[in-house]
Amino acid sequence: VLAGSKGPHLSSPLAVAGGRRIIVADEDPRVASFVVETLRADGHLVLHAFDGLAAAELTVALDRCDLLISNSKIAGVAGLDLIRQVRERIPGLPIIYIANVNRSTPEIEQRLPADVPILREPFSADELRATVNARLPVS
Amino acid sequence: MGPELAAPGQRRVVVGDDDAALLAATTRVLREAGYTVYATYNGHSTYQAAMFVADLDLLITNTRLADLTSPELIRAVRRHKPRLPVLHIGEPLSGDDPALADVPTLREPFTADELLASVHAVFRSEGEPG
Repeated sequence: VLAGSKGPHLSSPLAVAGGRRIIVADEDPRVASFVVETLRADGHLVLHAFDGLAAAELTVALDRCDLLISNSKIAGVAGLDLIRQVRERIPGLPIIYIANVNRSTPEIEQRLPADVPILREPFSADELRATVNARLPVS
Repeated sequence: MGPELAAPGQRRVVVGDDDAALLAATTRVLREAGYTVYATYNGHSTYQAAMFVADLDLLITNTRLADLTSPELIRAVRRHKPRLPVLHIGEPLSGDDPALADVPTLREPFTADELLASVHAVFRSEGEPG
């Protein structure tokens, strides 16, 4: 049925089976685009959620999620609460926290789970990849 | 307390838009009405969310999606989920594609009540209570 169909090259669920599913929660379009495009170019399936709640909802709704990336812009007290709720549903889910210099505070960062690394803006594509790849399952 | 994750049993809606203000407004209205809203930027994220959220009740999509038009997005999703209810925001879709024939259009600008009425109408046409 799909043969010869026109339109954009959308990955099918099967086609992305080898990639990792990553949810990005970031309301700064500039940072989000950089993160999303970098990780997509590396072959990952990346969903850019509108806000922290949508990201958390997506994380628990998908039958598999490999990584949640949350920005400090939405990761205030509510963001920390969402991280806690997501971890209650999916214990051990890898999470990366992107710290914006103007918005992240020591109080917030001290309350992050110990196994959530902090990626400070500005960061390069290589720094992003290194942080991501260190958290993704190998197989 | 911050926002809470959805309780089981809420209807699940994927909303896709590139306009942050409109996405925020649509998301807020639907959340306040009790829907679980998977709000996503751009067409590809919306496609992935529509594909991978299980037991999805509705897809709301906007023609403004920068990387993918609404007709492209709807056709792609319906190849895999042919019965998924869809509400389209923007200009009416061209009428010659059977895959899009049953997709209602909500023209902009719209009020919260008009959005909810359109959503309820989609669910009524599915034979379920709104």
